[in-house]
Amino acid sequence: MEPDVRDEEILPAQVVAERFDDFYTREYRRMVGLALALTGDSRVAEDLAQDAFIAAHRKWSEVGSYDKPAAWVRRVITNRSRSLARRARVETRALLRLASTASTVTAPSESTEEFWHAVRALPRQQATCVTLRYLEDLDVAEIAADLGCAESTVRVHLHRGRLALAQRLRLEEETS
Amino acid sequence: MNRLDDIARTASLDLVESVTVVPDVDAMARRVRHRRRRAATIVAVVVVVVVVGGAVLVPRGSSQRVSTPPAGQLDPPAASILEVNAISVPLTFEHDVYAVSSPGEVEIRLGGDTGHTLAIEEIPDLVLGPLAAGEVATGVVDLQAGTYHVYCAIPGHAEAGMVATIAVGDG
Repeated sequence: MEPDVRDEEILPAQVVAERFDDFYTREYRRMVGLALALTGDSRVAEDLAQDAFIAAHRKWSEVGSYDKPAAWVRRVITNRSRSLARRARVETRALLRLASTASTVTAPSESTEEFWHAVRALPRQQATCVTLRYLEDLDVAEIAADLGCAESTVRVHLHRGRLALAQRLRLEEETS
Repeated sequence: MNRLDDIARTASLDLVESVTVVPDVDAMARRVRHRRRRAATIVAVVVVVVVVGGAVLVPRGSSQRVSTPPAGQLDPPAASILEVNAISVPLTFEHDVYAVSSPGEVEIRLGGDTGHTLAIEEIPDLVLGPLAAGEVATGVVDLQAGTYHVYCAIPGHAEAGMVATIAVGDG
């Protein structure tokens, strides 16, 4: 982590509001968590997060000047996680690394696994909205901004997603 | 739905805590270097193909055009134009690879069958379409040398094969 290496290889030449490596260090775990929630595969999640940060690094002179650069990275992750073609490539790459790297995700509890499995079984937009709502603690307006859609659309996805989740998790009293 | 909210928040905290990965700036730097080398290799291959094949590589049957300013023109060159046709049966774009000879602004024109979109993984802000009947959706993007992954963002279409690549040479 020598500063000279970071300055040469990570930081773009243009001065921006925050150093890329500070942003990366602060946000990386959260973004892996988001990708993990959306994909259910820790190694795919790491690769998706890394790809998103590399994309951010490439445009850091622009992305770093945004009010919420993390929202840009979240959007890259949610976009890429929904492309199964892309995920297939990422999974292949992740499998190639499987033997040589230790897992960086410990197994969450059974109830947590069950919840996120149920989220991933939702239609894609519902799953994305629910994930951003709970995992990232975003409100409707922030989710709409992240996904580039109307707030009313997000409300519908959240409502339907929560109803479906309650049914899948057999919270009958919640849906009655 | 208080109980669902409680379960969701607990599951969120548990998931975040399960991620034990430590951000490694040096590893990130190595990945950036690796991507740069890979992009440079792709650019070199594209340049060789362009030089051998002619001034501009045009995919089979493509309507792609890359504008070139006339000699002596003082105005800055106009954005290159990349025409992409969406096809519904089977779900695909007309070509697997679209080549652009040099970096810079490119106007992408999406035409073809209705109901499709064009998104670029590396440029998440851009989504053209969904196309109405007879519509050509356009957008201008600033492409750097390297490869860009194109897909239709309509659920199920990319998975069915509606993906392509834009390869940008270094001029």
